[in-house]
This record gives sequence, structure tokens and C-alpha cells, in this order.
Amino acid sequence: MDRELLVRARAGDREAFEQIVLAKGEPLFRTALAIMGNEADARDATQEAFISAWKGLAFLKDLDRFDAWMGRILINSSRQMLRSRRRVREVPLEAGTDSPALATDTPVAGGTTDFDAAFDRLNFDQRAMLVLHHLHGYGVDEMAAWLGIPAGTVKWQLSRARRALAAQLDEPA
Amino acid sequence: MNDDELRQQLERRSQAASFRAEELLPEVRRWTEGGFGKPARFARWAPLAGLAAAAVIVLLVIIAIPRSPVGPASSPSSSPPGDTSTPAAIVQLATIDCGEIPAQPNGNIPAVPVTVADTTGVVGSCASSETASEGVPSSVAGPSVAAVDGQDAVAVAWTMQQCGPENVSIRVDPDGDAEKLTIVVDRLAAGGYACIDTSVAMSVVLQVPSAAVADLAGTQIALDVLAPDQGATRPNQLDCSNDPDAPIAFRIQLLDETGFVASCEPVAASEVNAPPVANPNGDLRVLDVNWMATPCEAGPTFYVGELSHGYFVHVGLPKAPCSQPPVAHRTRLHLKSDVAASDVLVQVDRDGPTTSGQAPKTVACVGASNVTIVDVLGVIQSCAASEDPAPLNGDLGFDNPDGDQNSLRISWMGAPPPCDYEVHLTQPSDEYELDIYEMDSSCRLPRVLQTVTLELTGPIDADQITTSSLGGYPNLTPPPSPTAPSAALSPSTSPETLQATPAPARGFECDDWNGNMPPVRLVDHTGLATGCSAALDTPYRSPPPSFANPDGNSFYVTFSFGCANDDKTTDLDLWARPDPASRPKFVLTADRRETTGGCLIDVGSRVVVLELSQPVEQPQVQVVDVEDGLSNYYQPDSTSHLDFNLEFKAGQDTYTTSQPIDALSTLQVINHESGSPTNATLGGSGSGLMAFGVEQLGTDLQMGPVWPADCRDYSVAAGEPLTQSLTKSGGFSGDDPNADFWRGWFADPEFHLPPGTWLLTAYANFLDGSCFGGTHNGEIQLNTSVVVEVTAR
Repeated sequence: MDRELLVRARAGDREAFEQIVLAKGEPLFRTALAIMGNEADARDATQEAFISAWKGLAFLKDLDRFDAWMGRILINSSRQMLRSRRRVREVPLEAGTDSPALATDTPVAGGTTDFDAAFDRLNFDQRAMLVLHHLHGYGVDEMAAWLGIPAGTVKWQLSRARRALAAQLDEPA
Repeated sequence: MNDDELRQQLERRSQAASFRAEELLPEVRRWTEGGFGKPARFARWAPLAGLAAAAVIVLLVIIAIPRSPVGPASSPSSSPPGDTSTPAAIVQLATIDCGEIPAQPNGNIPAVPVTVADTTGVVGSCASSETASEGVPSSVAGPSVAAVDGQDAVAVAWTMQQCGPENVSIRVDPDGDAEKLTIVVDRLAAGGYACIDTSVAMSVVLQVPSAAVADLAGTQIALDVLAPDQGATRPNQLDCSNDPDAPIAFRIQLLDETGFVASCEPVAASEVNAPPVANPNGDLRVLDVNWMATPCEAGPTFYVGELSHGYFVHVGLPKAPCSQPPVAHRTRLHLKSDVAASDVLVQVDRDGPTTSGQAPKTVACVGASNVTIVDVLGVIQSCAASEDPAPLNGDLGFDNPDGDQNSLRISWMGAPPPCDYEVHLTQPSDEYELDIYEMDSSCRLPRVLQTVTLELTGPIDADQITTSSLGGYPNLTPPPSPTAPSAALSPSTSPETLQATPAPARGFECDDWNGNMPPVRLVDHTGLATGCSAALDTPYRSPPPSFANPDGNSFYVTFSFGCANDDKTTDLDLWARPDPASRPKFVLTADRRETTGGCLIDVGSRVVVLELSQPVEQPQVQVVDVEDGLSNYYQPDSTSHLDFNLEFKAGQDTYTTSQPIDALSTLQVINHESGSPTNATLGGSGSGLMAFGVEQLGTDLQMGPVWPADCRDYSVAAGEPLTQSLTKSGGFSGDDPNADFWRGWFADPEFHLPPGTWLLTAYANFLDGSCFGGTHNGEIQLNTSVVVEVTAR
């Protein structure tokens, strides 16, 4: 990421921030989509992440850590989105409207697969671990920065995530 | 699956949809340009969390000071409170520890830690104290600033009601181009078990250059409230009256849930046909609300809230028969953000307690700002909060303290501030009547004991008060639902003999839209259902076609199931609450016990679409799993590493009236990272962190829970969750039509219930952290329910 762009955005330059959105938007969206498996949720999480970034960018002291900082925001916004979906137990009955939850549940193109079904049964952190490591090739330290947890925790959780996925796929770990 | 195969699968998932920058950019741009024109997190405001949750109040003090000592010369101004359109200036923060404002001697208010975040470099040191003795009047209510004798220092002081533990953070910034500093005092109050009805003076002394002290004569002082998108979570209460001692006819209370109302005032109005709302002179920072009312319709209450595409102002007028014609009124709202009148909907309702003739005067209660005495008889000299309660008879009690008939002490169980109460003492005959009204929709659980003492101008024997009531405005009470008759009660009713009138019930086989699920059946106890269909809810399936819902007569419910395969029949029962108050109008119980197939975590959910014969009145339904209840709480936006599980199980699913109900609630603290139980300190009521409510479905029988307002710490050891057996909790008014039943029920030492379908709910309400020291991570509220059937024999 162009450091000057970050400096300008941090000082409140909206155009600079939009350039960051254009540069970082797609990879972040792909990450969220791989983790969440739902297009609408991934779009919302990406949007929330950028809004949070705009509000918090002024307080980011070390611009060299922007990528990890942005990634952590994305992970948090994705996690919050999934949690809020799971917590909902009261459903608004808006007469004359379709289900808001279902309206955003646009099926992922190509339909589901056994892998998707198994992957979606993993908890959020396990999914995030596997995406960051196996899709993006991040190492333990980078994942720890993205997820905001100690590197040691990353190691054993990654191992546990692989075992959990294997169990879901009915494979030996 | 090897690593390559896994990567390919994840690659496929990540490419399953196209990135659309053209959709993302406009949404982000709305924020960066501040295009909302209103505080942006209003949609999340939703229901007030019962009692005072995290509340942030900002006191803004502007002190004249030479610019030279102020921080980086090129540093732009700080963002004003509530402005999220631009990131704050890049500044180097110096954090200075000011020590603590000492704890109150009675132990109700813990010490308040104070820090200063100084972006200017002018603050040398600071110190906190309990009183505003450093040259600042101790009676000051808002922010005030004064020089400290003999020192190059200023003292900033304020006096406000405390609502539990809090932290204070003072930010010192340069004030734009002006030769000034701004000092912003953030009071982060996050406990909220009960607001202490005494105000506490606080002051912080800042050591600053002598020039700042010398220029204090030109100090500007302003009072502001932090915008909701910066954390405020309680409504802002304003008094729009010019004169706080004015009679009730001229009192205008405003409850602002949006945070954009800075102040309000009455202004003269004469036009009978004025529009309900207008921006005078096109000023978008001012709204004039116009309404017509007779002179008898005294004491309007304004409520400002948000709609999905704008705002609404509700003007509540007491319903008052009056022979005089209505006249024009106008109240002016001064706003913090631009709002066009075209985006504001004004609704005027006459929904207050009925008054007649001349408006009575009101008496404010010292130390109980949420209580107003309406002195219909003209016998009340003063009112003040008391610590010692009067003996309660149900939820309400009163007496002459120490036998002194010139004093009348009144106690009741009710929601703490911001819930407002009006106390009416009338004399319809030779005897007196005492009525306590909850004033608005902010009155939620839990209830706490509140006591005020009236000093009277003449003696009144408390025994002469033969009628009393506690509740909402009488004419706000919704009529009983014709489709859900209440239990037939009589004074002789007892748990053994009470038999609810059977609600009309009709069964449906729900259409299996997916064609691959075991049956879902619905028993409707409301008379509204005409059909239903069911489907699996996964992101990869389209919703069932009945979601089209062209006439608004259907609604859907979802519930998750904890197993990979849902292979059991689901039996649903739909109930309506005759008097839902603040609870959901409908309850849907789901009997799905004995699911098998390799239980994991929540991996799926079902959607059931209920077709109704008419649009539903209240847009909520509460879904309850019959077998057991589990409520998870994950800390959002918190530094806490704790998650919480509240589990509730009944010993049986069916009891007879002679069998005591046994149920157990369990509260477990989970480390979020490891997913394992962990140690924790939780702060909560001295009666316990958990309490219970009971409700007979299809009737208006409902009780509990209540918590005493005190707070103490509980230690939870890893692997040793807190448990609490089902106990009775609650209170009732003597005028409750079910009072005889509840009196008998509470007198029964065991937990028996009469025949019927009963919803038992466990509630947990506590702080994530200690009651004391102001270091907790917020208030947690959980509840979960089970359903039990009680049969006659």
C-alpha cells in the first residue's frame, strides 16, 4: 500500500481513502466470502470494515501495519455479523415485506458442495484460520496479527481447525 | 483432503461472487462525506437495555488561553463531538493520571478513576477530588471552571447523578482557530444497577500556564451530550420549560432517543393552521413543532425517535375533558445536526392520565429526579428521596414514618431512571387514593425499590389511603385479546383451583417446502393462523415462495437447531399475550426434543412461515425451545475475553398441580479464545445474578423477576459454573385483578402452578467485572425460557 496514500487518508483525505477502498476492497471481500460463504454477508462485512477503518484511521500510529490492522477489522466485522445472526431470536414481522434475513441470503453462485457444507459447520475462528493460512498463505505471526490472538494460540487452533474439517468431511485427520 | 485440495476449494469459495466496487464505494462515501445528516448508529439503538447501560455524557468547557503553548502548531482542530465525518486530527496524546475521586462513604459509589488525555502540552499535572472546593461553587450543576487560588491551575467541576461505576476521561484539545482550549469531560457510566439519588460534586484541577488562569474571565462554558454514535445508550431527557418551577400546564418534558436535540423551549404561537413541524426561516438546525391543545391538557411529553427514513416526534397530551377551546402551541427544538422538517413525522396523542378542570401543581422530588408529585389536593409541601422503605404490600407500600401524619412515605418496585413516575394523591371520597404512574416506554426490567417521603401541609393518616395502584397510564392499557381469554379468577382462587379458560386451538400440518424434512406441526392458540409452511434456512437455498407475502398476513420465524441432521418432528404452539407490555406479542414454542445425528454447534436453522387471517398487530415473536433454554452472549466491541452461557432446564416437562416445579439455571463463563470455562469476577445484585419469571401462556398471568438494587462481587471458578434453583421472584399491586392469586402463590413455600402451559424464564443480569473500581467491561443481560405443562392430576 502506498504510504503517501495512507498518510493522506489518515489526515482526512477522502479521495485517498477511496483509492485505498478500491485497492483493498476486492481482496478483503474475497477473504470474507471464503470465510462466511455468503455473498451478502461478505459485502456487509467488507463495508463495515472500511467504515470502521475510516473512523479509526486517525488513531493508527504505525502505518506499516495497515494491512494487518485492516485485516483484523475485517475479521472482527465478519465475526460480529455471524454472531448477531446467531443471536437473533426475535424476528420482526414487517407486514408486506419479505424476510430481511433471507432477502440478504443470496445463494453463492455455483451452489453448495459437500466441502461448503462441511466448512460452514466449523466455527468462525476455525474458518478464518483455514482461509488465512491455506488460501492466503499467511504464516503464524501474520495470522496472529489479523486475528488479534497470540501466535501460540494460532498454532494449535489451526491444527484443531484442520482436524475439525476432516471430521466434517468424514476423513481421517 | 490435502493442502492443495483445500486451497482449491477455498479459492473456489472466495471467487463465488464478483466484487462490486461500484456498490461498495457509494456506501463508504456516505460515511466519509458525513452524508447521513444524522447520527449514524441510530438503527442500532433499538430497545433500551432495561436500566441504565453504558452512558457517556460530555461536558464541554472552553477556556480562553494563548495559543502559543498549544501543541503542534500545524495541528488542525479536533473533531466536534459526534462528528464522524473526518478522522480526528493527528496528535500526540499525553495521558496523565489524575488519581481517583474517592468512593462515597456509604459504599454505593465506588472510586472514579480520572485521566487526562492532553493533546496540547499545556497540562502539567492534575488531581481529582470529591468536592468542587477549589474555588468552584459546590452547588454547580453543569461544568464550571475557576482559577485555583495561588496556583497556575484551573479547576473544572461538575455535579451529576451517578449511576454506578464509571470512569472519567478528560480530553484537552486546541480549539480550532480560536485562542482557546477545549476541555471535554467524558463520564463513562457503565454499571447501572440503580442510579444513586444523590448528586456528587466532582472536580479536577489542571495545572496550566498562568496565562490560562488569567484569561478565565472570558471562559465560555457549554454543556453538550455525546452523540449516540459515540456511545451514548440512554435517552436524553430535557425540560423544555422556561421555568422549572412553572405549573404543570407549562411543563414540557422531552425524551430524545436520537441524541440530536441540543435544547428545546416553548415559543409563542398563534396560527391555528400551522404545519405540524417546520424549519423556521429555513434553518435546518431548528424544528418548530406545532400542536393544538386545550388549557386543560396540561404537561405535554415529547418523545423524539428515529424512523427508518427520518424522525418522529410524539407529543403526548393527557386526556382531559375541557370546556375551553384548543389553542395553538409551539415548541422549538434546537438540533445538533441538520434535519429537514419534511423528514419529521409529528404525532399528537392524548394518552396521559385523565385530569379534569384546572391543572394541579407539581412537586419535584429532591434526590429522585424521576419522580414528580402531582398535588391534586394542594397538601404537599415537599418531596425527597428516602433510604428506609415503607412496608410493601405487593409492589407498593406507604405509611406515616414514625407515626408522623405530617409525612407520607411511599415505596414501590419499579424500573429505575430514566423511567419517570408521577405520583397522584387524590381524595375521591372521605378516603384517599394513591396512584403511581409509569410515564413512558423506557420503563423496563429489572425493578428496584424506590422510596420518597412527602412532607404535608396538614396531617393525613396513611390508613385512610384505601385505594392504590401502580402501573402505566390507565388508558394506555390495551384491552384483553378476544382470542386469548384470561384465566377466570376469583378472590378464592388458589394455585390448586385456578383453571385457565382453554384458548381456541387449531392444528396444522406445515407444508414441507424442501420436501426432505420430517413433519412440522403447528397448534394455533390465537385463532389467527390459517396455514403454515416450513423450510431449511441455509445460505444456499432460495426461500420458500410463500415469503412473497403480498398482503402482510404472514410472518416467518426461524430457530436454530444444534445438530447436523434435523431428523425429528417439530411441534409448534403459537400463543398471543393479551397484555404484552414491552414483551413480544407472540410466543412460539418449539418442541424438538431428542434430536440426534451427531450434535455439533449451531449448524442450521429452520424457517417456518405462518399464514394469518389478518396482519399482526405487534411485530415481534419470541421463540422458545420447549426442552431447555440456552442463551449465549458474546461480548461485542469489548476488550473482555469472556463469553457467557445461561442454561435453564426443568426437571420434567409435565407436572401436576401438586408437584413442585424444579428447574435449574446455570451460568457459565467461557474464555472466548480457548472456548473453555474460565475464572471470572462478576458484579451483580446481592440476591444473586439470576432470577426467574413465570407466565401462563394465553393468559395475563405473569410475574417476575425483580432484583434488589445493591451490587456485590461474585467469583466464578473455571469448571464450577454458578447455579440457581427456580425460586419465586416479583411483586404485584393490590389492584392487580390477579392479586389474590399471586398472594396465595407467594405464600406457598413450594413452586406449584395451576393447570396450563407455563413459560418459565431464567434471567441473568450482571457486570462483566467488579461492581467496584470502575474496571468492568459492561453490563450483561441474558434470558432463556422453557415451557412446562401443568395438569390437574
